[in-house]
Amino acid sequence: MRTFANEELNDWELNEMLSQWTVPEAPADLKARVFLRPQHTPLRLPTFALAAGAVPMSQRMKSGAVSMLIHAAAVALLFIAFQSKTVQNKVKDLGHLVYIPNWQPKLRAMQKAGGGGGGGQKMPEPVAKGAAPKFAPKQFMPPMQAIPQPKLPVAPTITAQAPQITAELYGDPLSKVLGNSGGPGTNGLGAGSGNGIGDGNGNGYGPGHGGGVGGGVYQIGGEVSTPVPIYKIEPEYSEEARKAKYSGTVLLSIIIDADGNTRDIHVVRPLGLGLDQKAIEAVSKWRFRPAMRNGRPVAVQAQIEVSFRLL
Amino acid sequence: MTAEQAFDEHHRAVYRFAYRLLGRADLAEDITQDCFLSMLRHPQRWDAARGDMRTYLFSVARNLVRKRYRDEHADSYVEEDWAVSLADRKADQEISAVVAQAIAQLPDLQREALILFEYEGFQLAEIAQIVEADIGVVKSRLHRARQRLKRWLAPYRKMGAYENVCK
Repeated sequence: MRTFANEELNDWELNEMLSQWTVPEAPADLKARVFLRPQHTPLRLPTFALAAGAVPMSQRMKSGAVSMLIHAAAVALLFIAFQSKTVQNKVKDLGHLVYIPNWQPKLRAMQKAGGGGGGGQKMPEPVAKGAAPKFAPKQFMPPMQAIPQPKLPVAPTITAQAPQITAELYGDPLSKVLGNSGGPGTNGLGAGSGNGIGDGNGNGYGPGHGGGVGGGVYQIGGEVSTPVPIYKIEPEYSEEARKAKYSGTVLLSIIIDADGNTRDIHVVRPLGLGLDQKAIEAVSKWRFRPAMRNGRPVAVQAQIEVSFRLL
Repeated sequence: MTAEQAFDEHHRAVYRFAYRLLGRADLAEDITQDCFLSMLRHPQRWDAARGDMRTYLFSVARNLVRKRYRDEHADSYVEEDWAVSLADRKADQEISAVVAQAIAQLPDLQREALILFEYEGFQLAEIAQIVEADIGVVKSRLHRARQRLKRWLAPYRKMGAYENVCK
């Protein structure tokens, strides 16, 4: 790892530096969130306490016997009642009354999609002959025979087969391809998978990930805080390097994503003898507290020095 | 003191404390909110004989932070002798961010002791009560944290506004 200079700050210098760390103020609406919530009532209900301790066994048996008798009596009453002819006839009559036929409408497959219905202007005569309005995918203004003078004129349309929308006016300014193509990607224009333009995966413009022109992950600095390592594994020494008593530092370029995992690890300054691979293996397992931008975790690019020293 | 008075008086400090420990505004807000909700739900837990309201609230906030950290990083740990640093630290980065990062790299127990002492002005005995440890242990954590920071922050003493102070 990179080691800092040997010199140390004195107490006064340290205090001065510590005093430079400022943090934002608490948001003004916190009080409302605490005091206007319904959680003022206790979440845990009071424990139910029995007033008279455990019920003795004899009493429980007595209760059980009474309960059984009541149930048996109810069943017997129902049985006797249904034996009666009068009741049976009444039930039959009720059955006819509540009978619902098992009817289902037959659904016919549409051969062809039909058009919509017309409107009208509450005039006695049928509509006069005239030109149909333009077709549009969405209707803002219904067709009217006499159009009053509007402040914001909108041509009347009917919703019907929508015109083909071409992308001839939009494209990738970086592209050298002429003609009319939206690119092989999804959702945007280009070969990427985001909603932007270009070959990236974000909503921006250009190759790479994330937002903004040029794509790419965020860089540390300014609004973007530094990710903090929270889990690391020491890299192992390769056998060759151990035998050769070889030491040095590998500089790696990595991307720390919004979840704090590392990816896209590349060797910037190699060391050789298998140590580069060992460094990559170790760093790929490291976890970070992700970089933050405006309070949200973002992916950032960073460089990490991994030092190999033999004691 | 009513709950609202306690909130008005202490919520900013609790928020600052949570923010310095977790480094995120949204989490700090959650912790502050939960801290005072806990006070509202269980007012009987505060015993005036054992410490003042401020110490009690910080103790609740500290436990909430630790619980949140455990929930989010169940499979990770922070080593005692953490010595890694990102090599691409830009020279023009603000000194505030440098200090924040250095403190974030301290072990958890040292970090909370340092923040309580340096930024919230607690006495050693109060910190010991908040973190549930002996005064001697707190003193030792504080000392080790400061020693580390003295080493780690030495290369940045000439950065930014601090340059003028050091001359």
